[in-house]
Amino acid sequence: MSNDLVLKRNRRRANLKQTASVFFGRGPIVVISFVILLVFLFVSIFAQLIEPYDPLALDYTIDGKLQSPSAEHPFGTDALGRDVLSRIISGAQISLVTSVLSGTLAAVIGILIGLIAGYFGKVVNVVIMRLVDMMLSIPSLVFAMIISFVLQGGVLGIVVGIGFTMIPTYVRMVNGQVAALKENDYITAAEIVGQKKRKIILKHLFPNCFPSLIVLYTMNLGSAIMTESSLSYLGVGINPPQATWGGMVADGYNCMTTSPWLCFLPGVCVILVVIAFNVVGDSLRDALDPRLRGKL
Amino acid sequence: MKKVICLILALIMVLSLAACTKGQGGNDSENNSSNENKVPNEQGNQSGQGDSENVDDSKKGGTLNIAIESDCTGIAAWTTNGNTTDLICSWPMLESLFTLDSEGKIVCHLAESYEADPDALTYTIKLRDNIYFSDGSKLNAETAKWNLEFTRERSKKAPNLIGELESVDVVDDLTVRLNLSSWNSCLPYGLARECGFMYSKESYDKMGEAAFEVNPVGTGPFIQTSWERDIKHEYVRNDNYWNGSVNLDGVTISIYKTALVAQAALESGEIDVWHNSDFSLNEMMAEKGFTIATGSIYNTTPLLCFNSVNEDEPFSDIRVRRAISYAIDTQTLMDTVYYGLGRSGNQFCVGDYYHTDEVKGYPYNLEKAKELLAEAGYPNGFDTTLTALPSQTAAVTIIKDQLKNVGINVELNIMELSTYAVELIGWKSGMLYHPSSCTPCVPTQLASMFCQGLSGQVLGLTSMDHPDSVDQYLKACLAAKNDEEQLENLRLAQVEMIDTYCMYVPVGEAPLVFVKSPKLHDDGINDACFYSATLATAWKEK
Repeated sequence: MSNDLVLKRNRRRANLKQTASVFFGRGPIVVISFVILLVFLFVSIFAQLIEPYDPLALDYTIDGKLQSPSAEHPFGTDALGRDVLSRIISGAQISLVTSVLSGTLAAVIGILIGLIAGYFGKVVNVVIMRLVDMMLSIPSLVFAMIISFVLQGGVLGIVVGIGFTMIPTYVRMVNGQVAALKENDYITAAEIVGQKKRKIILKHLFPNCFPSLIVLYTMNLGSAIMTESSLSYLGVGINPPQATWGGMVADGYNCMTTSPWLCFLPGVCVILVVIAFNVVGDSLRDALDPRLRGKL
Repeated sequence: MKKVICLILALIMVLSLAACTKGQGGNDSENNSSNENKVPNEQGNQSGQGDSENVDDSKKGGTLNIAIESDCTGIAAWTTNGNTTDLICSWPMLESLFTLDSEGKIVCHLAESYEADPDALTYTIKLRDNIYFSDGSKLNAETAKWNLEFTRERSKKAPNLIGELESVDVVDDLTVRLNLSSWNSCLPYGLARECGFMYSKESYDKMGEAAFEVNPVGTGPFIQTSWERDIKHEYVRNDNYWNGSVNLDGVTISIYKTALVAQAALESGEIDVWHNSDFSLNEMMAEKGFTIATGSIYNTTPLLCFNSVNEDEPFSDIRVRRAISYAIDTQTLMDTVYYGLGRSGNQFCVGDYYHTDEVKGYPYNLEKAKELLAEAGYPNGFDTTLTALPSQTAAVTIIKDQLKNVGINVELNIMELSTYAVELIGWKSGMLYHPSSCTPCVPTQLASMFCQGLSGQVLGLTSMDHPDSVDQYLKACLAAKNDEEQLENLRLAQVEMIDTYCMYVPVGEAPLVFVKSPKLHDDGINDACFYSATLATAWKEK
């Protein structure tokens, strides 16, 4: 191995170490949030393996319904005798799937449009940005609800609905970054040597937007989980009997005085995961952008 | 001399008192001689006015606060849909010609008596002589004719409930004759709810339609003073109520959209009555001492319906429909969804009067279900969909779970009301779970749903088979000239619908629930059914 390669690898390792030390150095909240997200990811990915019961299995017997938390059912059972812990685990999977898919959908479309708007500028920029402004003028939850309703709910409806509401955030960010980046000398140089526009956009501009996009993507995952839970709470989301955190809160709401765990526990899960995504996203931004370093 | 004068005065007083007492007794005996004109109230007076002195003062005063989930669609003849909240908001101020007793049979209310003549296709209704609207005008035959004709023309429910009414003749000052196009033995049932409400023509003419629409004038014990849509209705006592004095000062009907808030309001004493649609809370409220009024006549009859018209659907095969009927444990379903307040059933019916024991039905039997499915060519079941409203999620989740036992994989399709309303008429494939309401007059209800040639918002209009024999028996049932004939035709129709054609799975019957404060008495709310209440006699413990 040449010395250059070893040096490069060492430099990369050192950078990674520095970024990690900045990331975790912001305080214990970041570490806790990071652990929450790791648990969330683990639970979502291995849901089927760790669910103590089938989340859809009913137990209509009087003894089976609305059981308080116990050793047998640590989070109790709901009005149809289903194990709440198993349903929360199953709901985590739905939350992860919808948030990742909708976030990715929004990122792919939003980044592409943002790169075009930012690089070409002028009329293209004006048209795209005014359309984005129009999209932003519609409350995101209402927008997602309409799209989801048109697509008759389900995972596809939710993913497309939430994804569309997040597109403007990517367009705006990428457009702003590209508008600044394209004034750099290396872009002018690339244009002078006759590089194709597609190559300039994808090879020079897009990679330079990446750090900010990672942060935005992470934070949007939290928003997507929140929106999915809200849609499911309103009954526009995933069809029952599939467990979703928002749907579980809605189902348990009226039993708040008799069986508070039914809405409290999935509600707490939503809060923890959304906060964790925001804190981690915030810390990532600080770690990747030295100008914003601070402590939580 | 003074002693003589004193004696004479004392004698006059005694005689006056005796005369007064005799007068009251005379009225009572007069009323009692009629078979159907008793409208008792808490004070026991029949004609009412002038008896307020006898009323226990401790029962006087206070406001009755009722909570409902959503506001009514309307209370005027041409705006009401006759749904639960419409009828609740009508309780304080509107009364109908007939009402229902605890068994669900027709009894006269504003009418004194009625005569049915099936051969001449007429009903002759005699009105009470002492009925006054809250604006002081009298209810006479002319006003009744105006009301009935107006309702026939404008009421949304008229085609279903009094569709056969052709014209109304005034026979004398207190008698009207209803001329029908064809005989309908259930017509008085239609006149026991919104189609039988009597409104003041005088006020209608004076106020104009727009003002009358939101502030109609009836014969009830209260007068509406304000209506803030989606917030509350306020009513004050009608001091000239024709059926005796009224205990309460007023009534307020407020909208509590959230069950939890309504529950807290009831517990704190802010409201006295709550129309609760969340059955999971009833047991807890009963334990806390509140009264759970379910009524003797239930209101909801959930049905699992099949698309039997589409030849490509497995449901076009009667063996599949029967298999599904056998595979559903209706008792468990009703017990779970209605927390022990529902009753399972094998036919579309509420109450005992119209119930027939001749329907065999499909008692829960998984083996039989599997056998029938195998015979129909589905030994391993099949995939299908089940459409329902969000409020029915628990019920359809249980059905999905039970059908899994015979290999049928059901995908739930939960729809919002607006989409569901369209789907209800003609869902393209699979099944539909419909929490149908049912009037105590079961023949009217069945005929309005399963006869041929219907139009409008009819369940399964283009998705379900409407066999000739069912149509024939239901029409004969409505046209029956006596009770025996009516019951016999209904029996035949029920047997055809369930045993012969298995048109749907009748899951059972469920009540409307009103949770009432233990301090409220003699209100009559949901004693028999929710059509009317005796708010004139209601009183609250101080």
